[in-house]
Amino acid sequence: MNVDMRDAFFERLVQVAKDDARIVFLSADHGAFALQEFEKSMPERYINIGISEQNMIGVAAGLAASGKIVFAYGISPFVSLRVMEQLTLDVAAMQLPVNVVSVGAGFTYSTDGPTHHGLQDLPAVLTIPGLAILNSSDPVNTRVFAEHVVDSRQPHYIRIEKGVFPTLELAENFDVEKGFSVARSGGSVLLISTGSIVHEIVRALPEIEESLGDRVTLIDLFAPCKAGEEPLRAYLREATAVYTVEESYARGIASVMGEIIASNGFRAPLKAIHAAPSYHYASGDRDHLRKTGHLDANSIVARFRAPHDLSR
Amino acid sequence: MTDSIELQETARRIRIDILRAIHKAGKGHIGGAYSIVDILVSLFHARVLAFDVKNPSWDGRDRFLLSKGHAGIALYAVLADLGFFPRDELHRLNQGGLLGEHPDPRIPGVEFISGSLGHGLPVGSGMALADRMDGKDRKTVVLMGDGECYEGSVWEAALFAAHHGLHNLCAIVDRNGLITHGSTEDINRLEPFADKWLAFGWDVRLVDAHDLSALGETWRYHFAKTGGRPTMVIARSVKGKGVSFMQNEAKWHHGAIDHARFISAMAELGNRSGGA
Repeated sequence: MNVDMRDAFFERLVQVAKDDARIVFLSADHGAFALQEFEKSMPERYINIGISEQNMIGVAAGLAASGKIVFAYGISPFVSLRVMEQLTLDVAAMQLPVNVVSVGAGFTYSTDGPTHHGLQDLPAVLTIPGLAILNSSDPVNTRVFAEHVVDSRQPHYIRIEKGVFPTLELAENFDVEKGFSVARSGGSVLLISTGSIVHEIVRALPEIEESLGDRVTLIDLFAPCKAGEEPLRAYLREATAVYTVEESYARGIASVMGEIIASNGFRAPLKAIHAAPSYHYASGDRDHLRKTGHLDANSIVARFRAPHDLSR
Repeated sequence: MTDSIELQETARRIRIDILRAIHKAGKGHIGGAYSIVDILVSLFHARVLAFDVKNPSWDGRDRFLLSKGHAGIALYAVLADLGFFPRDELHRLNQGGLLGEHPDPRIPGVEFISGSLGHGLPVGSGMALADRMDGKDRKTVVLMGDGECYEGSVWEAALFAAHHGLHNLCAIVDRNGLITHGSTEDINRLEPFADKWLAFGWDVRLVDAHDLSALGETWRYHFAKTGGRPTMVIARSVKGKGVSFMQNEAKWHHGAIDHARFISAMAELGNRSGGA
């Protein structure tokens, strides 16, 4: 069933919240269709806090320090960059069950320009010790995240998508604890991605494999903080080459992989594919921005044409 | 109720503990610690706040957030005096022991991490809101510096707490009028300060931060509240209060205390046991 990813997340959250009175939802004046049900059925636990993200994260921490499980919702740059210190000190240092729900990954808000692009949030929040990150790529993992974070009672930064995306992984194979899903296996070249850009790679896969003359293993690393654990290390150890693709500036999962490869002495060369470190003013839809930002399927394929030329 | 004379004596003793700790540590934020000693003693030693020394995370406790975390030593001296942790820790301030310059949640009796300004009021607002949701009648008290009120997040929370009518929240501003490099009014004017909070919808009280009976009366007023607006207590204080050469001197925001000054300060504070 085609469903907007935000609605997939919030519909599940509403179900969970109806059975768990500890759950409180804060919004920095940002909505979603499925949230209307939360507001309607649990008005005392739904607070539009206004456009004040710093206060929202602080209030979330205070609520969580008093036994609540809090969701704090807003647009990517405003619930990450603008509140880096609140996330670090009030939430992560205190290890409180605050779940930041961030919408607007990559070029989601394409026409809104660099002020609204989510290219920096992932690299930024990856620097916060004790903050688990979940990056959704399809309706299945999105729904699971809504339940998982309530059960875990740890601080989370959850990136959810806006718009309709197909199911990538089969529900029965999805293991949130593992931190990644194998979307395609069997190749010695390892392609690691995160977020909905995985769908571009799936589209480009036949051409990528043709360019490489080899099969690839495609991994959806939805929990980048788990990358250092053995299950993924085993893949990195065996890989002949590692490519990262992310709808983000550099220093995201590319840096995470680079550190793991270098510190373990793995042999695989690493090639990072990511958004150019500039301000993407092109006005158009997300597909247009991915194209001008060289992150569409065709551009990704082109990056595989010279697989071992790491100078590119 | 502990009387004012006894509390004054406690405050004097606490100031000595702070002086010794900072002297031993080499340097520290003594000015802004001295300006809040009487506030802390009137809340903690007078048992205005509910707490359990043996069980710092007791669910029935009132919440106290030292948002101006650089005055951590003042809170530490109070907590040590009450027995939250051994007094010896004060003498190991910033020297590898339990206590660092800014409060952290590992320290018994410390509710929340602080040190970066502008965090306490949003967090305290969340705590007060949770208590109201749960029908708990405990209070949340947030102590801020006046310089801290330059931070925008303070005013985001000021709007929020007033809008939600968090009557169980009490914010205190240590209005000593000085930041590191001079007067708040010369550097970036805060006045008319009370009017700003009134306009934001707070129940504003002015008090002398060094008058223990006036402080007690203020807390009694707030703790009797069962509805209405959040309380803002603007506590007119003297930075460095208690030691003449430090009083109202911005340079004593943070600094080292040499031996001669230490002896002189000890004499003023009326140390009876002598020595460090």
